[in-house]
Order: sequence, then C-alpha cells, then structure tokens
Amino acid sequence: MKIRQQRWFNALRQLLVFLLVFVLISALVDQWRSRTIPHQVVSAEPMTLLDGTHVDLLALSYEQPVLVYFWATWCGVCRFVSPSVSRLAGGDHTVVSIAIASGESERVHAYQQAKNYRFNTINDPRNTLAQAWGIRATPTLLILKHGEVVSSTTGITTPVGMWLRLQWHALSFND
Amino acid sequence: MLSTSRLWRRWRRASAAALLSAITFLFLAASAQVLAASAQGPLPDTGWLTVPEHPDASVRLSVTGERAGNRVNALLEVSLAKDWKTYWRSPGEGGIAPELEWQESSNIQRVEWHWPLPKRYNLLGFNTLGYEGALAFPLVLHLDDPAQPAVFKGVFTLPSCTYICVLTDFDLTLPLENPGTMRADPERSHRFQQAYSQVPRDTGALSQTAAYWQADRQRLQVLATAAHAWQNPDVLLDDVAGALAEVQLEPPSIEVQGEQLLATFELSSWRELPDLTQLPIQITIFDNSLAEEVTVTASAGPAPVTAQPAMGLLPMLGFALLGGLILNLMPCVLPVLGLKLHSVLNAGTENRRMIRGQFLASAAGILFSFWLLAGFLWALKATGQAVGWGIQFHNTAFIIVMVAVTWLFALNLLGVWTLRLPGAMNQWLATRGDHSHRGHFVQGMFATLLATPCSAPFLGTAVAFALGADTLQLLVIFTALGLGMALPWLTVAAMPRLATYLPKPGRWMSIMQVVFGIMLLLTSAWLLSLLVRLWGGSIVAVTATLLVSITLVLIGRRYGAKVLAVTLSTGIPVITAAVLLTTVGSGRFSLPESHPWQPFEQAAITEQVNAGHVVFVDVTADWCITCKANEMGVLLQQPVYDALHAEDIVLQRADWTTPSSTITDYLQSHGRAGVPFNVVYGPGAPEGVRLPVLLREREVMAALQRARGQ
Repeated sequence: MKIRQQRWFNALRQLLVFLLVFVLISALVDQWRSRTIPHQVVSAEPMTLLDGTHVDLLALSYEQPVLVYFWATWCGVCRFVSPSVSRLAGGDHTVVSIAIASGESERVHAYQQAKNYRFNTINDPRNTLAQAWGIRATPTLLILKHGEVVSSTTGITTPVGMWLRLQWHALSFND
Repeated sequence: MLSTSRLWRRWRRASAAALLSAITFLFLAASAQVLAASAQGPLPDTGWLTVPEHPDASVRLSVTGERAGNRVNALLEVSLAKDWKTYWRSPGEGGIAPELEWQESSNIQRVEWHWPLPKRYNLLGFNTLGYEGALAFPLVLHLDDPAQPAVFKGVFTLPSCTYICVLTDFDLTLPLENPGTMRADPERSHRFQQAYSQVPRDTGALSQTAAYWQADRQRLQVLATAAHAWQNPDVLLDDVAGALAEVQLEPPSIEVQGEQLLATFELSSWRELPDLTQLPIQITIFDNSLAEEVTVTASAGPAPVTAQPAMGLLPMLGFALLGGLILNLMPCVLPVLGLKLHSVLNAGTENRRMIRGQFLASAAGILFSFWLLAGFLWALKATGQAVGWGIQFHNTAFIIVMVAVTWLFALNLLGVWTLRLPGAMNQWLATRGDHSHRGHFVQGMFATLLATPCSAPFLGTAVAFALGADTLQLLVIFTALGLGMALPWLTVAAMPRLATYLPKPGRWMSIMQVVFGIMLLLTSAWLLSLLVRLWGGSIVAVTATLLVSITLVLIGRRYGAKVLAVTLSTGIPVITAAVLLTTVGSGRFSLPESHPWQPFEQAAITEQVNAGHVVFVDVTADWCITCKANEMGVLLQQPVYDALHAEDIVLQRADWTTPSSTITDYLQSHGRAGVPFNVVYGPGAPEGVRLPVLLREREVMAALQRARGQ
C-alpha cells in the first residue's frame, strides 16, 4: 500500500514539473517578444470605435482589466485568434481591438460582419496607433490594468490561456 | 572636264576637314562626359537599410546608371531572413502588398514598379502569393527634367510574415545629383536585367488569351493558346483597380490540351463580387520557360471549349480501385491490417500456405462486404430512398454496435483486455485449426465496416457515379472498390514471402499496437459523438465518462499508476486542445429558437415569388444527420438566422421522414435522390437557386441575394 502511494506521489510530481516547465517557457517567450512594448501607455490622441463612439482605454483600465487586441484583416494567424477574442468580448470582459492597416473603417466593419467578429474596434489604417504603442507584430494581445500594460503576448494564443490571463488580472484587480 | 575634277578635289578637302572637326568634337564631348562621370563619383545607393525593431528584413535602393530619355533605372532590393515572407502586388486574402510612397520626391514625375513572378505559399491553410529570401523589384523613375538634379524621397512599407506579421517602414532617400550624365554600372545593370527578366509581361508568346465570367456560378475561366505545348502552367489573376482585392482565389483548376490551356477559378468573397465583365483583368500565365502578363476584359458566359466527355466507366474503375486502396490508410482500417500482420509474425512466417489462405479469406471478406453494401444501396435506391455512402449511420443501433466493437477492439490492442471465448467454442476452434478461414473472413468484413465512416479521396467520386449508374455498373464499381481495398491483402496472399521481410517482432510492435489502439479509441469517440444528436448531450457524456473510466481503470490495473499518470498528463491537454479547436469558430453553444417553417406547398412558391417574396425551401428528414448538421451549423447560426427572418422571406419545409410521393417527385425534378436539399426562389431566380448538400453560410447568403435579384 505504501509503495503504491509513493508511486502516485511520484507521478503527481512529474506532472507538476511538466506543467511548471511549460508555464516557464511560455512566460519567457512572451517576455522576449514584448521587450519593445513599453509598460506605460501614454496615448493622448482621442480614439473612436468603428461606430463613432469615443473610447478611453486608460480610463476603462481603471474599472476592469482591458484586453487590447492588435490584428489585421491580412494577417493569417489572426484568423485563429480572432474567434477566441470575439467570444471573450461576448462575456463580462472589456475587450477592444485595434485593426492595423486594414483599410477604411467601412471595410473593417464589413469584414467583421462577414466573419462574425463581435469585438469593438478602433481603426488604425495608417498603423500609427500601433507604432505609438510599440506594437511591431500582429496578432498581439495586451492586458491594461490601472493604466499600465501588465501582460502581452504575440502570435497564436490559446483561448484558455487568454481567458486565464484575463481572469487572473480580474481577480487581482483590487490588490 | 577639268573644272569638274578641281571641284571634286576641293569638295574632298572640305569634307575631310569637316569630318576631322566632327571627330574632334565628338572626342571632346566624350572626354567631357568621362570627366563629368568620374567627377560624379559612385552611383546613388542607399546601402542595406535595417530597422532595429525588425532585424530580419533589410532593404536597399540604388540606381543602375542606365538612362533612356527621362527614364532612370533603379533597383529596390529586399532581403529576408529564413522563414520570413513578403507578398506580391495582389497577395490574396491572407496577405498585404508592400507599398512605396514617393510623393515627397522632387523632379520625379512617376515611378514604374515592376513585380517579379511570385510563388504560391500556403500559410496555415491560406493561399498567398509572395516571395522569400532575396528579391529585387526593378523600378523605372520618370524624371520631369533629366538635366536637373532629382531626389527620390519616400517610405517603403514592407510587410513580412512568419507565424506573426510585421509591417516595417523604411525611409528611403536617394539624391540623383546629375541624372543626365550618369554612366551605367555593369554589375548593377546586370542585376536590374536579371530582376526584370523575372517580371511577366506581354511578349506576344500567347496567340490568344480570353476570360469568361459566369456570375451565377461565381466562376472565371481563362482560355490561352501558346505556340508550344504547355508543361506545368499556372495562372494568376488580379486587376489594376484593386476590385479583386477582397476576392478569395484558390489556385485554379487547370486543363491542358496541347497548346490550349483552360484555367478555372472559383471566386468567393466576404463582400459582394464585382461584375467582372466591366473590369480590365490582369492575367499572369507562367510555365517552365514562359511568364506572360496580359490585360483582358471578360465576356459573360462559359469558355467556348468542347465540354470534356463525362467520365467513362473505365477511369471511374480506376478511381474506385484507388479509393479502395487508400481506405487502408484511413485511421479506422490501418489497425486491422496492422493486427493481421502482427498475427502472421507471431505465428511464424514459415507456413506460406497458411498465410496465403488467411489473407485470401480476409480479402474475400472485404469483397463480400462491398457486395453487401452494393446490394443494400441498390435496394434503397430501388425503393426511392435516400442513398449515399455511410447511410447505415442513420441507424442508432448500428452506431451503438460500432462504438462497442471499436472500443473493445482498442482495449484489446492496448493489451488491457483479451477476448476469452467460452471453453466449448475454444475447443471447437482448436479442432478446426488452420483449416477454418472463417475468422479471417470476418476480420475482412470488420475492416470494411470500420472503413465506411471514412471517406477516402476518389471514393466519393466513385460512389456518386455508382449511385447514378445502372445496377450492373453499381456492382462493377463496388467490386472495384472492394478489390482496391483488398489489394494489400491480396498482394501478401500472392507473395507470402513479403511477410518475411517485415522486421522481427520486438519493441516496435508493441509501440505500433498502442498507436493503433489510440486510433481506434478516437474512432470510437467519434462514433459516440454521432449519438449526441440522437440522445442528447447528457446521456452521451455519461456513457463517455463511463467508458473512459473503465479504460483508465483497466490501464491502471494492467500497467500501474505511472503509466496511468502519463496517460492522464498527456491525454488531458490533448483532449482539451481538441475540444477547444472544434469549438473555435463554431459560434455560440446555445442555439436560438427554430424558424417558423410552413409546410411545403409547391403551388404557393410561384404565388409568393410573383408577390416579390423570397421562398426558402428545406427538404429534410428526422433520420438525416447531415440535415441536422446543416440546421445547427448554418440555418440556426448568424448571419443566416437573421437573414431568414427578414420580412420578405417565406420559409417552407418538406418533411421526408416518412415517404411522400409529392416530395420524392419534387426531388427528382431537381435531379436529386436524397436529402438534405435546399432551394431558394425569388424574383431574381424564379426557377430556383439550388444549394449544395452541405450548406455553407456564404452560399446561403449569396443565394438569398441572388433570389432577391440583387
């Protein structure tokens, strides 16, 4: 009986090591990719969504963590990430996307309609906003909290990872 | 006479002087130019530019020194690190073209940008056209005044993608101090010419190029005739105005007959398609030793080529053989073949007669099952019922049996459960010994049964042909399918020596057995998932939990906790990922209320259409799983759901669960033998737009629009 317990314990320990290594590696990769993204986001210019309503990301980030999603209609990988972001946007979270160099607002709107993407979008046809934020690549996901970038990741992100990150920052929001 | 000769002499002297002075002048002029050129120094060149944020891409702009009139040749070179790609001027939906802004330049009227021939890339399932590694765009700068200095000043925006995409802006400034007196640099001229030779243009190598647009089929055909026979041609399509920018173009299907080439593009877009007959289209055609680009305007209608004769029985037989053969590689069948070879190895490979007999028996089992299937389908067809590949899956009992069989078989392969026959039966089998081939015959039938949920390439084509053909052809095609599938077994039967070439039994076999076991477990899970629609999710979830628990307990008992932990730690993330992947893009989980369907009434369709309404007809049946999939996956999903609720739409449903001669006649009038079947009628299409068997959101939306006459 004792031997059996020991075996279970060993297996559990191996599992934990696997998990730890996975988390560590993905954290390191994200860290390396986000080296150009400044923590403090200063954006003086007023931003409007596709439907014309004004949005203040910094002010929103003092109410709840804000998921900011940089994407483009021409970015192949974004097609794998956008549906997950769209689903998150349908929930309780604040999600705002920024469409880079994807044409006029009317075009981006039509694209989102066609693909059934339900997130709010700020159009950045000249890629100026993204550059001001230090975003070099799409798809990039940032989490804004209390006016600061607390998390960022570029490339394919799993829906679970995305949700967990957001959930984590929502739980620790008032700390 | 004398005066004439004097005059002649004088004229000669004068002309000699003139010639001398002309030569002197030319020499002087030339040396002045040489002086000027040497005074000018090296030719303008930005050198290789990199942006610190994206070191994997670098760009260089230089002039070659060649000038013709006000045209100056320049070369825009791009160098990309491994795995990075950039795009062609019309990159396809999944890409964005590089851009060059040069409006801040001075003394430059126009910039001609030439695009070398791109390559096709498939990036994560999206077809794009682009370049990788080193590439050079030939530019021709048109100056306002070549005698005056000019400055090229602008921004080159270079998109580059791997699994992420980066837009990089390069500031390019290139002053041409004295464009009039530049001298060509042979090395740069060579590079320019080399790049320019990669640019497709109209050299007249094609004696005829024409495009044909069929708006109703969203199909564009290109017909081209060259001087030589085509070898390995490909065709690209775009337009100067960028109207095709949003159009998704899959690589065309290309048919070649000697010098004539027919390329057929199926167009689709998330926006409305433009009228291609009003648009100058650029057609780029290339082959092993040809790259042409011509601009044409499409005419309406299909290409005027003699239609290929409908595929005959003989090529169909080839398809059937091939389709059957490929079935062996499908995850549902591979384990059976593997197990068979396994048993041969265990029994020893010496007894060739025995091996031959066993494999022949299995092959016969396969062939017999295909005949059974043919007979079954023939009977259904004869009674006017829906027929198709995998029709038995409409039967719940059949699915339950298959779930049980695949699961038990998988457990067997994983070595955690062995079939123990009652003693008497064992004895009976023992007395039969190797003379009984019944078991092997049944194995062959089992392999076929496992194969039916899998549809291999070519299989669908062959089965569809068989169903449309007469009884004899149906039998012949199904025999070919069976022979194709039995081919590996027959090969071993013909040459039992082959079995001895297999590696000696060892560790690899136990690994293979586990792999086959997992394949079968997945098959079993898929079969179980079919029951969700019949039983509801909760019962299936309970069943699945029960089966998984039993499997895990058996694994734990047989191999111990460590193997179980490894199974869990690898299995859980894989299953989670799989579940997430299948749910991505499928939209919301909860479905809205069903549509308010009216019963089918053919006479009412014309009335409604005359009143300006759109009529959506859905022919369905309760036992038709594809119909359910269409409903849940498309009809009850946005944006189709809302579109079907529009005020001008009338929804009619024809229920074919029980035989109905009206509906059968209606189906037959549209050349269909089964459900699902959907038609949209409207002022724009009074004869009706037929939708494909498997509905897709885009096609439904397009059909509604067409029916409205938009």
